[in-house]
Amino acid sequence: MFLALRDLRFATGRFSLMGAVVALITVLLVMLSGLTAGLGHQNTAVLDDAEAAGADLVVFGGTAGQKPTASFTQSEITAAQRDAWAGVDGVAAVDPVGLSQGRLVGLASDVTPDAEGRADTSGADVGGVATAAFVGVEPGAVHAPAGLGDGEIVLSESLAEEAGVAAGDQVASSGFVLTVAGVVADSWYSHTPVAWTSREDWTALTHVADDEVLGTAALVGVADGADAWAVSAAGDAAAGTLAMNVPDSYDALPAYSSENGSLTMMQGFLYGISALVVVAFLSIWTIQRTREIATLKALGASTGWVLRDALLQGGIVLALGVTVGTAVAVGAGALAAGAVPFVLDLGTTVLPALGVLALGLAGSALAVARVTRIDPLIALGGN
Amino acid sequence: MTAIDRTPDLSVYRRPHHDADRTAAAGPAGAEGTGGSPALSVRDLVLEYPDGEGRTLRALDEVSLDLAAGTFTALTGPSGSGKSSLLAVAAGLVSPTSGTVHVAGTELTALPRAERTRLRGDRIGVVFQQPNLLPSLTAREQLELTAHLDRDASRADRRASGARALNLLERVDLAAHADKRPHQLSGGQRQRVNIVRALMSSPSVLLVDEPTSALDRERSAAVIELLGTLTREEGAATLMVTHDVEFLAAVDRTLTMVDGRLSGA
Repeated sequence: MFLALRDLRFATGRFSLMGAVVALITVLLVMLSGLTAGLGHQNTAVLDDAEAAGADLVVFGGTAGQKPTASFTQSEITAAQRDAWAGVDGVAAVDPVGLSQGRLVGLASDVTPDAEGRADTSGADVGGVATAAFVGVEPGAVHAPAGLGDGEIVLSESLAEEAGVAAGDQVASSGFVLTVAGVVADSWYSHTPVAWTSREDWTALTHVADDEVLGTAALVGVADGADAWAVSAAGDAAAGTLAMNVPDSYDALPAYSSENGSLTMMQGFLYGISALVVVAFLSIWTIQRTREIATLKALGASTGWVLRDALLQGGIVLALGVTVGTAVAVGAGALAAGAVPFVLDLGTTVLPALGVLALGLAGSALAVARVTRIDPLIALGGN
Repeated sequence: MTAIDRTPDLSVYRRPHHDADRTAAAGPAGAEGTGGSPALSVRDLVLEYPDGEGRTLRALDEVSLDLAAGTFTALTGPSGSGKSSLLAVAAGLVSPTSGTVHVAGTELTALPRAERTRLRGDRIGVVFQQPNLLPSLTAREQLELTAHLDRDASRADRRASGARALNLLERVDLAAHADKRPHQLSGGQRQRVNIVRALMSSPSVLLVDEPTSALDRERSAAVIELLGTLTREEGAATLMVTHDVEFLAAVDRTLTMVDGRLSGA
C-alpha cells in the first residue's frame, strides 16, 4: 500500500489514462447492457407478463396441420389441440392466444359499426395511426386485461397516445371498429406496443378462415406440484404440439435471436477488450518498473509483497474507473431511457461493472505475474 | 533450515544504533566481533557458471573472508576479476557452487530463497552502483520504505521509522531535502540517500557496489569518507567494491581480487 499509493499519486497522468479507458469501456458496456435488456423487453414483454400471470409453457402447433414449429409467425393452435392439452394430468389452464401485427387507426369521432363490427371509416376523422401488436385472448383468462369483452380493445399507453384515443373512443383495424375499453401500462411484442382484443375479435381482425384455429399459440399453466417437463412431454404427445418454457420461446420471435445475439456478442467483445487493455497497460508498466522491482527485491521485499503492491495498484485504478464509468452510464442511461428502449436495473449496471472489475483484476494478475520472474540481481551492477 | 534470530530487528526503527556488543566489536583491523563471530564470514566460496560455449567459468575460486563489525573493507581488482560476483553471493542474490556465507552467525547459503530475501532485508544493507531510488518516493520515504518491506514490523515500528529516516538524512546533510523526490536531487545527494537507505535496518553487513562510478573526484572522496564514518557509527561490517584506489585512505583494509582469487584477506 505504501508504495502503490505513492506511485498512483506520482504517475497521476498515466494512471488517469488507464482509469479513463476503463471508465469508457464500462460506460459502453453498461449502456449496451441497458439497451440489450431494453430491446429484449420490447420483444418479449407480453410473454413475460403472461409468465408472471401464471403461464408456465408456451405451446406451438403447425400451419394447417403440419409439423409443429417454434415460430410465432407460423404456429397455429386448434380447438382439438387445446382440448387434448386440457385433458393432460397436471395442466391447470390452457389458453389459446393470438399474436399478430397490424395497423390501428384512432377515430376522432364515433362511427356506427354493423352487427359484425364492420364500418366504413374512409371518411371518418382520424386521431392518429399506429402499428399495434394484436393479442387475442379469452376474456376473463388470467393473462387477459380486466374489462375486456367482445367488440372492445384494451390499449397500451403509448399506443393510445400515438392513435390519439382514450377509454371510450373507437379505433379501426382491417375494416372492424372496436371500442377502447381501457388504457393500461405498456406491454410489448416484437418491438410493437400491444393491443388486447377478445380471441373472437382477433380471428376476425386477422382474417382467420378456419374456425378450428383458435390462435397462434397456447399458454399452459401447470398445476402446483406437477412436473412441468413431464406435463410438457405428455401434452406434446397428446396434441402433436411443441411446448417449451417461456424464456425458451423467445427464440420463436422473429429476429429475436439475431438481435439479442449481436448485442450479446458486442458485450462479450467489450469484456474481452477491457481485460486486454488492463493486461497491456499493466504489462508495459511492469516492464518499465523492472529495475525498481529488482531494487525492491534486493532491499528485502518478498515476491508476495511486490505482487500485492502491484495488484493493489491495478485494483485501485480499476475500481475508480469502473465506479466513474458506471455513474456516468447510469446518468446517460436515465436520459436515454426517454428516447430508446433502455432498462436501468442492477442487472444492467452493477453486473457489467462487476464483470469489468473481475476481468480487469484477472488481467492485472496476469500482467503483474511477471514481477515474480524479475531477478533482484538486476539492481546490482547496472545492467 | 537455519533459524533466523529476528528479535533485534523489530526494534531497529526505534533504536537507531546497533546493539552494544556489535558496536564494542568495531575496530579498524578486527576480523571478529565479540564472541568470536564475524559479521560476515565467507568460506571456500566457489562460483561457476557456463559461458554458453560449453565451458565452465569460475568467477570465484575458493574465496574465504571474515569481516568484523565496524570495519570498512575495500575490494579492488580488474574488471571481470569476480568482485561483483562476491558481492552478489554475499548479498544472497546468487547461490554459490560451493562454500558458505554466514551473516551475523546465520548461514545464508543454507537458506531457501524466501528466507534469504528476509535475511537480506534484516541484516544486509546493499548500496547499489546506481542509486536506484524509486521515482515516486521522497528522500525520507525511500528510507521509510524499508520498514514497510519488513512483514514483522508493527504499525508503531513503521511510524517510528520516520524518525530514524530523518536522523540518517541529517547525518548526511540531507534533512533539508527530505521531502524531495530523486529528480529534484543532485547525483551526489542521490548517492547519499542510496547509502543511508541501506543503513535503515541497522544491517550487520553493508555491501557497497562501486558507489563512486557516476561521481566526480570531489564527490567520490566525500562519499567514501561518509561510508567510513557511517560504518563506524552504525557498527556495520562494510565491504565496498571499487575501482577508485586513490580514495582508499578512509578504509581499514584493502583486498584485491584477481581471476576469482582473493589476496590480502
